[in-house]
Amino acid sequence: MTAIWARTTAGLAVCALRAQLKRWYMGLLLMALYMAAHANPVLVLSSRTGGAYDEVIEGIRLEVARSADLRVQYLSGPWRTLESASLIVAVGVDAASAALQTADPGIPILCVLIPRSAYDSLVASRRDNRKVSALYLDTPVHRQIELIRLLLPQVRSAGAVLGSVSQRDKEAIKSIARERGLNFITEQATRDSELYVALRTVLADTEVFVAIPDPVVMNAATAQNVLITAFRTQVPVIGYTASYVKAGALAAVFSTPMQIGHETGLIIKSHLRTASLPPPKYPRFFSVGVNASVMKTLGLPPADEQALAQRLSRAE
Amino acid sequence: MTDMVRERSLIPRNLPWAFVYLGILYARSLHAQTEDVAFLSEQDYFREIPQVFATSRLPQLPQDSSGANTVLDRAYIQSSGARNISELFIGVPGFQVGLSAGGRPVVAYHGFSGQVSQRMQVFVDGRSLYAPYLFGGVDWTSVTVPLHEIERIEIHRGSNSAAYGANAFLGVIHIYTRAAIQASGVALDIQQGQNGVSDKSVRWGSAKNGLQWRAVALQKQDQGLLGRADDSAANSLDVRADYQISSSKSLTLLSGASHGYYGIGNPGSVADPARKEQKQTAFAHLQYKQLVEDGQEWSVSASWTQDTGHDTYRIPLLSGDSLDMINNRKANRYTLEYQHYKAMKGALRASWGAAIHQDAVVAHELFSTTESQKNTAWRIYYNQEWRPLQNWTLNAGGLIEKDQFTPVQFAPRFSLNWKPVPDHVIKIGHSSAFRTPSLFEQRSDWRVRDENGDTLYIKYLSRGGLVPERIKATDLVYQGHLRPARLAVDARIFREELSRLITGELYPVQGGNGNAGVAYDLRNSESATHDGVEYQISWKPLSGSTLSWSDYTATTVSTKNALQKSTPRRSYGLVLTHKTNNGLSLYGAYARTRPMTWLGEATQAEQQTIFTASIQKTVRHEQAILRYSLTWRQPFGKLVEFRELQYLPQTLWLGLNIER
Repeated sequence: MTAIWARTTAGLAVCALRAQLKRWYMGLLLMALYMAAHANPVLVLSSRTGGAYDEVIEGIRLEVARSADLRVQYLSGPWRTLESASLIVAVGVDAASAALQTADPGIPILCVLIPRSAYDSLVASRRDNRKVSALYLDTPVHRQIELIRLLLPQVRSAGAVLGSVSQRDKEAIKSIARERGLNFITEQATRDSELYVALRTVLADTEVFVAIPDPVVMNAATAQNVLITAFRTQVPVIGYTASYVKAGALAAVFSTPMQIGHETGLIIKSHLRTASLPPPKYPRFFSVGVNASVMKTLGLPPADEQALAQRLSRAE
Repeated sequence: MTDMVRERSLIPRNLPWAFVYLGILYARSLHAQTEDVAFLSEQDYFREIPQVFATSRLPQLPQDSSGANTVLDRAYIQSSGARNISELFIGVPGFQVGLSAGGRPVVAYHGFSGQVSQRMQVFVDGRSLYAPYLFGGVDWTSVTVPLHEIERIEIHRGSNSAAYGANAFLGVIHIYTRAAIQASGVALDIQQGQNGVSDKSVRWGSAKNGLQWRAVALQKQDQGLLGRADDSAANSLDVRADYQISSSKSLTLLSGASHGYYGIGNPGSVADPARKEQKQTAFAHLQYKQLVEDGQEWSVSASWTQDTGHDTYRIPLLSGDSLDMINNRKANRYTLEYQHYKAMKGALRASWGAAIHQDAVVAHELFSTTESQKNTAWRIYYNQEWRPLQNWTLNAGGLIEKDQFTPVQFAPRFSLNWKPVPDHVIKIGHSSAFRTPSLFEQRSDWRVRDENGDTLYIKYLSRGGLVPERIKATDLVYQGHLRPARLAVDARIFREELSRLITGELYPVQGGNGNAGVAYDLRNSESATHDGVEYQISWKPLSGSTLSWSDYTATTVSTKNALQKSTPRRSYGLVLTHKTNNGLSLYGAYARTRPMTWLGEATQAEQQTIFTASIQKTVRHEQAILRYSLTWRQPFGKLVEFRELQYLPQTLWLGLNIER
């Protein structure tokens, strides 16, 4: 009886001790995380306030609220790079440029809300060994092409006007299109004055036009004219931003600032765990926008944007 | 002949200034060209792009529109090798095309037309070409838009005053020019060939941010028909500027001017000597569009058109004196229009609007006064498309119009479309339309006077009180695509009841004597019924090839023989277009129209057979696109044209177009 009582008592003591150790362990872990987070905060440096920038920051906050000490600074206000920061998240091209120029080389930088061409230009000019990566703002072309396949399965030819920057992806784009059964026609324009000759040539021979961003020939300044020209020649356009859809493109695939923020938060958390950044990449989360009026004009049935995004996601 | 030489020499004198002006503009545009930027900013991805598209701006889908429609697209227009817009209608079912004289084309749908296209409305970018002088009608020489700048031509085969007001009587043609953005850069076009064919044009355009413009200077001439002294030469300048004020507001300016000499009269004739009529046109058209939201838009447009004609000559008298014939005129038209389009809730889309326009004509010879003859009219309209079910569309609408001389007119229209299976639609429709009498028809006082101003005889003396001509049109339309067979069919069975038609009648003039004792007047005294069928079958046997057969057969019964004879019993045609992947384009058109007598003509136009072939090759050289063309009209010989003793000659011309 005594032996049984002793074993029971000992057992209870061990359990209590284990529970206590577990609590201590959890507490220590939380403390370590808290210490790590607060001792080495994550600096979010934004090019501007408001709009897409604040949406990205809000997305980050929602994702990492409990696991990182976020310090938000804006280029427009008084700002300084924190020497103690474990990571700098630069939101926008100007913030990325400022961070790369002024931050301690030991602090890794994650550039978000940045076009790939801008990131490549900024990083190409640097020779330090800083850890730097990016979550591009661009949509990978394969998503646009896959969207054509889903929306317009009968289409056999697509085309694009490429500028001196987007031209480097020409063969990759053609290869992606070929894999999906599309003949992809491209014309090059190196100056904005050459855009419309190239555009006319492409539109004459293609059933759908794909807008691929380029600093000179395919950007917000030329978008309206591209849409007018395509609209007049009755060639639907697949864009790369939500604005394209609103303005008259048939559809677009793009990542919203909130989605960029959410994915940035995941990268921050991963960085806090592993102290490493993934290589520069296109966003994993994206949306599809469809212009119902254009669909109707083309005699196409109404499309479910969410379902299209899910199908695209599954296709990857 | 001396006059002719002098007049011709004016042409090259004017054109260089246009080149200089365009050169300056181009130099400026080059100067203003921005430097390349290094890379995109994230703001490029979030910046609002001005909307270029809204439901309301869309043309209806063919299966939802009312009546029969034909669209001539840019590719067709280019491949045809045509020099004049009128030539493009040769292959359209129900159309009659002719040249009353060199440089004076006539286009009619279902006949009932004289030397001007009287009973049809034509718009260029929304501006009516219907001229308010003489008998009223469309003067195709007043079109300043070169063929290269036309984006598409939409033809509504049937009456449609409910949407477009007076004079959309038997049909409506819409000519849409390319947006200025599509004509950026520089282009040069030269056509040179037999019978004095010599056309040259130069275009300059620029697209910078929100402002785009293009200007085309055109010089055109030929020797006209055989058997007439009707060579013609004209210069024109056509400008379009598009300005995007903001994402939802845009402004378009269309403007142009032309000046030409057109041979008329007969060599050796005393009463109607060979001479040159001088015609000038100028216009300006400003459109403001405001997009309220996706599916809703309103616009305001104001336009001014001026047509001027100068034709003076002398008839020598036996007494040694001479009669001065002064057939000069100046006509102005001012229009202000408001339009609103809205996609309503559910399956309803509607458009409504109001317009006011004023015609003012000064023509001493026609009205025996130097005072301006004026007529002001207003109209309001409402049209809607309702799709209660997937397979059914109901179009309904109406227009109310009133001018100073005639009572209020109401023009209703409805059409019920049934789409039993995809790609096939059957439409049944009814509309009532009207043609407003012109100022000449209402108030003519056209006399020939001696040197003392006394009346020798009266040509026309109006007693006034005319009311608009009316038409009731009922049609059954089938449009279908047989995709496996690559066939498209467009057929229209119609019955058109025309009433109160205005024709001339001789009457005794009260108080007149001798030759001044009788005069012609124009009265609403005739009617006609026009029944028939027309169809077009298009077959695409190969990729890039289209073969279209058009046929029109009709019977006209009228109280007046001239009206009955003004429509051919049958016309048909075959058009082949073929485009290869290596830039070669072939076009062949054959059209035959059975005998008819154009209104106002003493002689019948015999069976007309037109054949045109064109071959074109497009090549790209660095940043330039070059197109060579060879067009042959009437390769099998001359043809009697419009009236007896005048012939459309066999003509071959070469073309070169360079665009950069």
